[in-house]
Amino acid sequence: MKWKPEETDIIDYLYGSMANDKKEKFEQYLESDPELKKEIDELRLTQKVLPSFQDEEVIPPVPLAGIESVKSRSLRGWLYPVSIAASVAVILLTGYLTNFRMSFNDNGFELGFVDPGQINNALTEEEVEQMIAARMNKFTSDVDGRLVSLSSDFENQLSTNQALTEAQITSIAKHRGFVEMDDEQVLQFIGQLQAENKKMMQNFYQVSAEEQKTYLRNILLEYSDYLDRQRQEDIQFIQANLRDIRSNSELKQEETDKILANIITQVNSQNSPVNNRQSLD
Amino acid sequence: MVNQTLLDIAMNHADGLIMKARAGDDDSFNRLVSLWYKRIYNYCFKYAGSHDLAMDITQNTFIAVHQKLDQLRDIGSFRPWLYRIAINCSHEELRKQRKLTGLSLSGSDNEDEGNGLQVEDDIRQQPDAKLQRQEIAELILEALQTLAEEQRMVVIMKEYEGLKFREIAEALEISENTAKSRLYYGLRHLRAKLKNVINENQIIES
Repeated sequence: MKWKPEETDIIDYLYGSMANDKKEKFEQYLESDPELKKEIDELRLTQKVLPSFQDEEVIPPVPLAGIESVKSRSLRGWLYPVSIAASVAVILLTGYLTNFRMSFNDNGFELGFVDPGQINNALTEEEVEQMIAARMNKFTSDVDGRLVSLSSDFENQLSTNQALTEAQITSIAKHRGFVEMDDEQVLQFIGQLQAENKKMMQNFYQVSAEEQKTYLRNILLEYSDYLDRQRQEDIQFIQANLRDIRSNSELKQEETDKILANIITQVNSQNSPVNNRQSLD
Repeated sequence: MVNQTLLDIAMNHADGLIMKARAGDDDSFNRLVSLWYKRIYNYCFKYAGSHDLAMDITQNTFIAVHQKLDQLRDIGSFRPWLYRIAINCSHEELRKQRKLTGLSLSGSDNEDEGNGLQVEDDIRQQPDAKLQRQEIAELILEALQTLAEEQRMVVIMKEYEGLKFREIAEALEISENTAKSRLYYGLRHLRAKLKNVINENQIIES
């Protein structure tokens, strides 16, 4: 059976990785298979074209420094257990220096910064109640004493202020001559006030009415004067205009007369005998 | 083609750097990144066809490398290991993008009638035009995007990244023969998509 190269053989031949004996065999085969020879030639040409697509230039970015920082932060290998051990050591040392204690006894689980054995036994419930009651009694008696004291002080101050106020009122009443009045006197006093007010209002209206009359009269007089002045001015204006019209008419009459005189003179001169002779010539 | 000199330098100096970086030396890690950043970016750019995506994938790749470097047992396998991480990050990023856009960013099979035909149409419309290098690069990038994903990865790793078949197989966790087979079909597909570019190139050379 005739040997036929496979795809891998073609690639080996193209890339020069074929053993010499196999290469001879392959080339012998190519002589008998022009199609394969042509294909190999074309594949070689393809290989020659591909390098036209050259590498793009690119600069490694700086963020690799970021990777570095991440790496430096991450604990790797032996560093990880060592760091845990160091943390535990620091915690233990801190506990020792602060006298940190833990214990579990009949009273339960206890945490503290002193030896639990050094802690005195707790007070009984009754003792606590007695202590609270004694404290409350003392507080209550203190508060009561202060309240009584404040109450008496307040009453004293109130009576003092009342007496002082009454004395001041009496003094002011005497000073201003005020006397006590009953209801009848008050009504009489109000009646007098009303009568005085009425009289004052009447006077006011009377005076006001007279002033208004005077004011109105003055206005009418002034208006009458204004109308007279206006009439006089109008008359003077009309007279002036009439004078102007008359003088203009006279002036126009004179000019017309002069023009007519000129025309007559010219007409006469044109109709003279000399002019007639010249015209005949 | 990959700058062989740069690759040589990378290969000759990478072992020491990798060892130090794996031991936690940040300076060595940064130097390692500087050395490989361009290669990984260009792999991602050719794979994803987008600068922004390539930048994201590259950055994620090196973050993942930083996190997993202590898991690298064989320093000699650093290169396929690095590309495997880049491939995983690429898949992850493209999956996110597909979820966001609902669009497939890569070709699904060899007979795809998408961008590849568009490339040919463009060339037909200007058969006599001299294709500039940039235009050819764009056409190649578009043609690469029409490749099936597994073929595209192999083509880029072999043609542009210069990986050995053993390394490609290791990166993709496939056999060497599978890698070669994918490369063969990938090249055939590119030959069809770039026919006019190839012809133009042939005319210029002759």
